[in-house]
Amino acid sequence: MLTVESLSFRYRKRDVLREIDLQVRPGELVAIAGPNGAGKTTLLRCMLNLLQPSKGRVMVNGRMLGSLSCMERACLLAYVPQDCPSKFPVTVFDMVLMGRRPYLSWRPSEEDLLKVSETLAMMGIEHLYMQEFDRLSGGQQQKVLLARAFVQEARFILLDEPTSSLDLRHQLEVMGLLRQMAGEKGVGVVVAIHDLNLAQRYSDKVAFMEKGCISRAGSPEAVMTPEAVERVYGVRVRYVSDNGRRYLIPLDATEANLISNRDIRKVQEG
Amino acid sequence: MLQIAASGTIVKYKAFVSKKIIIFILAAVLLLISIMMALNTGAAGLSVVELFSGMTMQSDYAANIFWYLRLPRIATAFLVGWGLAVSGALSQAILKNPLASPYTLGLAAGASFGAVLGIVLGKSVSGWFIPLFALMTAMGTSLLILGISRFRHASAETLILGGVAVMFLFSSMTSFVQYISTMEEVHEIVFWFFGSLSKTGWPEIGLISLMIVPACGFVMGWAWDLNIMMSGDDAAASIGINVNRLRNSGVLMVSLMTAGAICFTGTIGFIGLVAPHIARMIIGSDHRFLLPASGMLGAILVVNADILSRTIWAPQVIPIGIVTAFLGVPLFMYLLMRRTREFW
Repeated sequence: MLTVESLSFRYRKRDVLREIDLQVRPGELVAIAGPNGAGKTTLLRCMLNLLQPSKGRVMVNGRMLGSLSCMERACLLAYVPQDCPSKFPVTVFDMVLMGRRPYLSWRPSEEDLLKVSETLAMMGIEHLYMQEFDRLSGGQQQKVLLARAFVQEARFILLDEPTSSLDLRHQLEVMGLLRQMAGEKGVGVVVAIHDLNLAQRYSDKVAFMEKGCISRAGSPEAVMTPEAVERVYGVRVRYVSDNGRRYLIPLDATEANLISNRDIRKVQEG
Repeated sequence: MLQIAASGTIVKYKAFVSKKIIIFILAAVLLLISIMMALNTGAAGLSVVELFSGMTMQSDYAANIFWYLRLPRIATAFLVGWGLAVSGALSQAILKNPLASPYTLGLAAGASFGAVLGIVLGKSVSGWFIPLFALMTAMGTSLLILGISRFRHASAETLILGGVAVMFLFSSMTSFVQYISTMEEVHEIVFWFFGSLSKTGWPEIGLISLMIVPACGFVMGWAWDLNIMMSGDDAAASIGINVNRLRNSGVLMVSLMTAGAICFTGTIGFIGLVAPHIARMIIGSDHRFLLPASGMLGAILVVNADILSRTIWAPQVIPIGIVTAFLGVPLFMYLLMRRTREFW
């Protein structure tokens, strides 16, 4: 169980996160949605101990996150950042092998090599193993990073916008793989995500973030009502059904938003 | 099906790794040839065969040349090349910057300032005064840089900017010392900056290896962590690397090795920047292989530069610091032109 308890984070006297409570059970896929700047990435970074919360705490399987060593933490939590700049060339195989670092001695064991190549095969990218990471397409890179997080064998995986730069097919594949990891291996998955249709299709739980708070959390159907989406994003939406699945269609920005835009323009012109 | 595909990948990966070991064997052979060639060259005009046959016939003359002139020179060249190259590779890794070298962090400038101060205060190039000062200022510089980075989060950018600022500070302090010193002292300072491999006897070599060899071994243990740090601080931290501690101890190791390499021999530029790049072009950027390969390449470059410095204008000896660039730049340019892949 990954638990965030009344967590607040201040940066230069500004409250970036306020009183966040969140629970992620093993095998559960939790989507964190919300407008840009709502604090999704900051929350993920706090949950990984990359940022120190000013108040509250994060518990992993009953242990305080801050009390764990780097290696202990890596065995519990894996992270897939939004992008992965690589200044020097690395092959895909070596990149994924890095995820075995918590278990690795200087010379990788047969088990490490086997886990890496099995994961590559499972994700259908074993043919890329000798390619250089920075020469892959965005979708392939995302899959490699995902593979690296999988071989880390952490109990929870946190991902920052894993689908934002992917084409349609890769979006479905990546989310499907995460769903599969949650279902088969009992891994708890936390995804910060913009695409609400992907969020409601693949997640067990959605948390809506607004101005540093989680305003609503629960099952996608309960949380992502047209009214809630309109309030959080300032966009009117409608749901349509097809083959038993609900799809969210954005209609237009709401009046409140339009007015504020007009005001901004006036100020700029005036 | 999955397992067959997986085991096929493993076999190919192992073949890929063992290819690198062949490159190491070739490099070792090249290094050995370079050492033999260096043993073959010297002012006395004795060839390596004459040297060895003289020694088997218990000739003191040959033995003296071997033990007190040629071998110390080669050992110094070897250690200095190895140390500068490994500290260059380490700087590039901890700063995640292909332009980094021991000079970027201001460590060489700090060591140089110490040496210059030693020359002026000690009134002599010989003795342990200069290296002691060089070592102290190099370590002081690294503490200064770490102090700067402690104020903020110790990011690679903070370290680079702090290092460059410190470098300018030390260069102007060096200039100031030169400005107020006498003609003879300025002459000695200039000579120290050119670099020389002839000032080291066995005790000095012992001290150099004490500063370089254990540090190299230590750094080798970080190979995986350095690989992982390449893919960003956040990602590395989530895989279990203590990024700040690795970066700070990396700076200390770089300063120790740099001080060891240049304190007796003067600033030998360029090796720290170029040897890791050439090694990376040949063997890739896995630090398990890159660190020793850089070291070997640095040693090969400096040993050969030393041979050139003593032969192209014999009996004059061109300072080693000048020759390393003459030898390294064409090699570097050649590899840069014919490379088929982007390396950074």
